[in-house]
Amino acid sequence: MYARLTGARFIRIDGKVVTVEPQARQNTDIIGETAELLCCGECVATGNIVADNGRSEASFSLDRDFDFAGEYTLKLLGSARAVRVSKSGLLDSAEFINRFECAEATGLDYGALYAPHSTVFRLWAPLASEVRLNIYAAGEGGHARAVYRLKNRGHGVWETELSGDFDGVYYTFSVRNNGVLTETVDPYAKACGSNGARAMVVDLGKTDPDGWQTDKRLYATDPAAADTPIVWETHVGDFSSSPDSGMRYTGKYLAFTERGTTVPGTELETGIDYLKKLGVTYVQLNPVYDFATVDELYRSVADDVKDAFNWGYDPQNYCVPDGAYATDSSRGNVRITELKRAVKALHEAGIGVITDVVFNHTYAVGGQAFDDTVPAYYHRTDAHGNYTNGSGCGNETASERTFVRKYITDAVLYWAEEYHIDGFRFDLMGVTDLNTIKHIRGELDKLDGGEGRRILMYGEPWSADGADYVPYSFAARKAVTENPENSASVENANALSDNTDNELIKRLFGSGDMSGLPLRVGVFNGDGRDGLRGNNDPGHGFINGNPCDFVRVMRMLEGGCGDSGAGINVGAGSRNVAYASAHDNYTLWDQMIGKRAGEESPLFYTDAMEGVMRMCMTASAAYLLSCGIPFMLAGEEIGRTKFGNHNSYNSPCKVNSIEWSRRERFDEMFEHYRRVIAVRRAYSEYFFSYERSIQREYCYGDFTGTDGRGVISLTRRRDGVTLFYAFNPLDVPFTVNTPAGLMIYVKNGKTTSEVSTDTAELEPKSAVVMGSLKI
Amino acid sequence: MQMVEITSFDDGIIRWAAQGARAFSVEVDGEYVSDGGDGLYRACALDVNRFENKPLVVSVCDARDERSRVDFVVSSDRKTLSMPTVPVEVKSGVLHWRAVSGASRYKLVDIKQNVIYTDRCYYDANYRNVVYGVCAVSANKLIRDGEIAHIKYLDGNGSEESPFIISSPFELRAIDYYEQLYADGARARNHYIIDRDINFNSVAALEGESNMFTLSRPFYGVLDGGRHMLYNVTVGYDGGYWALFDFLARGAVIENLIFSGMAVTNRLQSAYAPLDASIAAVAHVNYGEIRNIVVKNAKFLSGGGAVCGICSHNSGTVRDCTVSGEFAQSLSGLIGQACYEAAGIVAENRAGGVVENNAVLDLTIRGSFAEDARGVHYPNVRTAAGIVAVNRAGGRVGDNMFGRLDLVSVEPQSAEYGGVCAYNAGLVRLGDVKNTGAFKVNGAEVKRAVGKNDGVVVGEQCTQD
Repeated sequence: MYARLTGARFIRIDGKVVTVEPQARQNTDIIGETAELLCCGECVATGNIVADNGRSEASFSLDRDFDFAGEYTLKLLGSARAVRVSKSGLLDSAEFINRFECAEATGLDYGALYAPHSTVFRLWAPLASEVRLNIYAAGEGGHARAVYRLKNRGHGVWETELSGDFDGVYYTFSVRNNGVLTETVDPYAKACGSNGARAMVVDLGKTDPDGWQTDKRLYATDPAAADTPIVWETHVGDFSSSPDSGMRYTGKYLAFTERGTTVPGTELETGIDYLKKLGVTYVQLNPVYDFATVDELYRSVADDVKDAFNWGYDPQNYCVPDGAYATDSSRGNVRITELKRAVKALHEAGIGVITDVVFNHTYAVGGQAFDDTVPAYYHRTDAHGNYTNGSGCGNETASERTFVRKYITDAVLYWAEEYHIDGFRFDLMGVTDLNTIKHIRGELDKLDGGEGRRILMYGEPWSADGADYVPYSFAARKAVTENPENSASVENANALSDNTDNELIKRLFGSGDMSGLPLRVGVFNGDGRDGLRGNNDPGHGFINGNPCDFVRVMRMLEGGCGDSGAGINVGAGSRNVAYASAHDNYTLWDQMIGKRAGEESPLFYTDAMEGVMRMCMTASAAYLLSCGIPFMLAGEEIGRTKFGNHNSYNSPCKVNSIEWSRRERFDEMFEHYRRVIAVRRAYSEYFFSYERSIQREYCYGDFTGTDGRGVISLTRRRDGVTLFYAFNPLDVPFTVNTPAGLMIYVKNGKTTSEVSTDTAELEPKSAVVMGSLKI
Repeated sequence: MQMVEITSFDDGIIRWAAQGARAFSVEVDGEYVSDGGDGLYRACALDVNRFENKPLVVSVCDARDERSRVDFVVSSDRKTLSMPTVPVEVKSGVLHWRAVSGASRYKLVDIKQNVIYTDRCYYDANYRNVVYGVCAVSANKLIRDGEIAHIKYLDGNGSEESPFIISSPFELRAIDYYEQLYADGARARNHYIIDRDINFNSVAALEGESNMFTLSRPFYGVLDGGRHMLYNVTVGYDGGYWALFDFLARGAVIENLIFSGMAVTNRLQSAYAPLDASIAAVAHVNYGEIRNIVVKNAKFLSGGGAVCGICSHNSGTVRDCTVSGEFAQSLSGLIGQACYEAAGIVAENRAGGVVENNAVLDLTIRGSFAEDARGVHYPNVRTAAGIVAVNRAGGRVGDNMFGRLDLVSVEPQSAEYGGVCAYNAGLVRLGDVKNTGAFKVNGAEVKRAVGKNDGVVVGEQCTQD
């Protein structure tokens, strides 16, 4: 009886010698056996299976170059049963890189390249033996009305050019990898039909709304506002889906175009008018690219049970706006136009637009464009070829690989150029490698004649799998492509392939030394956040029960961020994204209430409790007056609640939507936020300029008067201008020494116009902010 | 069949082509146009400049084949062609319209601005969002899609003198449509009357097991129920809040309506389903006025959150309403150890809210016992009252009464229950004789009108501990 092979994968290639790791139920059963390597059914070499470091392997000498597109199988000599041989172990080999990641391939544009008279369809599929183009009349349903074969022009590039005007035509690719033909959407799709299964050729010029040609990024129209980033994070649906929003386009991009909206029957502004009143300078949208889990065709059902919702951290088509926010998801151009209209409306209101990009993982591996096009290439793997999971979502993308780096860069540039996006927030940026982030930053910098350096870029510096773990494939790629100029084996030295001194962002963050990160790449200051208001247990921080945690807050005020352990990086303020709440975890209100879901009734969260408001206001003053980029969850300023739900990623609108009428009860808090934001903007050129916060000395203040029990007192002076703020996290009143003769902006939770004396008595858990400028 | 194809439109001259056609039938505003004196038209072009300067409805077809016909409208400035508008009729929740020759399909926009396409000339909106408008989609690039045609769902014109008349469950849903028109500035404030009792058994239950849908657009108008009854209403849903109206704006009025035997069940309340949960018959949030509403023999079963008879969160006025029935918190849907609120009229009365002259005639509020991860049991109703569960600072509660009020399986030790109000931080005004009903907590008679009080209570607590 023969031992049975259960699988096999190529693990090395050296010239014409390839090594395969065969797998069996008991590997010892196959040691000493002879294996046949077959390509498309024909035996191309035989080799003996030997043991090596606890695993089996067999080397095969080929009489020709290895065919990466070949359908390889392996069987034991004399056995009829063959198993497919995966090529995932060769994707970081010098041979693969030289052959497929060369300039002839990386220098091209991909996708459906539209022109009025013809369209070029191009796909990079180096492991494919065949690629077809399927043409459809609609984005869903029906059969392909035409199928074309793409030509292999070498280096993994497949393409065809079709004459005629293909604007509005839907298409997919069918890619044959290792003998299996899989229909898939174009990774570079710019438009698609409902639910994103088919791409659409689009004449992007026709998607521009009226006036789009004159639409500019914020830094071009209001440089002062752009240089004072104050970010308000919202989900497109949350912005308008509450019945009290007073908006017509509930849950849609077009809600951002509505002006003059109020809570119905009241004077309370909602939407854009509200944002203008609050004074924030940027809106960060949760993912607006096409994500997988909301059924776009099921939105007109009356029953609220079908209230589909998702934050959107389940990427499907990275370069396409999601259809669930469009009025008509079935026509691929509508969502593009409507998102552009939203961007334009925000720009006209003097507000920049930041989008959340989730390049760290894909919703799924199979059944999505990346893996269906080039199996295993776009994701990292361990030593056994298994997908690693740095994202906590089942996979992580391999940003260090040339075409992944190119893809991410291309996608970011596309959003910046086509949609006039003002900034990018990288979800779980810790999973991404440093050189990719540097590359993206460098390419953005080149836009608008170098003004693109003002496009904001920041992200979460952590991952879901711990800072220490390095996926096998990352290490393998780094070993092969590090410093490629000096490498004997890799010939394609360029920024897309370079892994010199590369590192995963999470490991930089974990080491406490972020100095390698570009100065214009910010990171969420989770340490400052936890210091300020406690961890997500919900725990206690400086303002809510642990006043001795004041050092982390002081560090945040000066723009410092980093891990909580040794080696804290008190670095450039431009890297500091200071915040108290975001879409993840508890809202600030819920955090301050300090109850887990189910411990209190919903009604408990609707009460505007003065003590809780006071803590929120004090916490907000701390991060809003920190150097760097202050950031807040939408509605934080009106005590937004999710009723103790700290992970509402797929909870319905009724828990996620912003309840605008809440402002009626939280108006004091709204005014406090508004006032502190006004202070930041008024003092921007002296203390809060983003451009100048790149210099660490610019961010420093004088903490004289800070008390060891937790009371922070900070004075900042420059060019004859003074700004003073102090925080009392204690449960008892505290008198702080203050500069006399300053305008007091806020004190003890109230906005005032008093003039300061030598002291100020701070009520428990409150703050005072004063300065020499009249606001 | 070869459809007539419009090939150009320049300077008011329309040109067309149709394979094999020798003569055409051309109509302008319903009148045949002929270039040969025989009613037929042999040229493939029509100069519309010679017609009166107004929009023209034009039809062209191969004279031998009516199926080749294409209809379109020429604008009064003679610069654009568009599909004709589509008059829509509504019968039992199904929209019908006449086919437009030359249309490739029809586009519907629903009340939430979602676009739906159909090839048919009807659309069943019974289980879908109410349709905001319908238009014909052109098959020809030279002809624009039609204008959205508004729909007449209700008889009457919506004025105070001639209010919209509601006679069926579907017509009740049409309120959303007219309120959207009001919000769009296309109408004055709407007035509605219900002209008969409405049996909701006529609506087949959905997946969600509901035969009444929430009206999701903010309501600004006046709805007079005419003392008519909505009966056999059944609602079953998974998580979140439910009421007939999501939001009553300031100035809105709901009056003279009877909800009889209404059964609402929130089946599921979990950590990821919304915790913003409540059940009320009339409104989730009220800034307007709710008056003379009767909720009788109601059975509301909440899987967590507040449960009450009229309005969950009141910032407006609730007066002259009466409630009877049984409000319960279920065991199965509970999470954690939260204790929820229950009241006969209003769950939360906010600053500016007024709750007065209401009556709870015969009400049972029933809790159950939740179990936490350690197996410890907690009662899930601790804040319960006949009229208002929580009266916030700035809220006013006055001159209400209760008859029989039984609180069963509730937290016995808590102070947050009362015949009128469970927790008060605002103002509660107790009438002379109105709070003297029979009030029992877990079977024991209790004499307490206001439970925990951090506000002001005016008048004597007519019942005493």
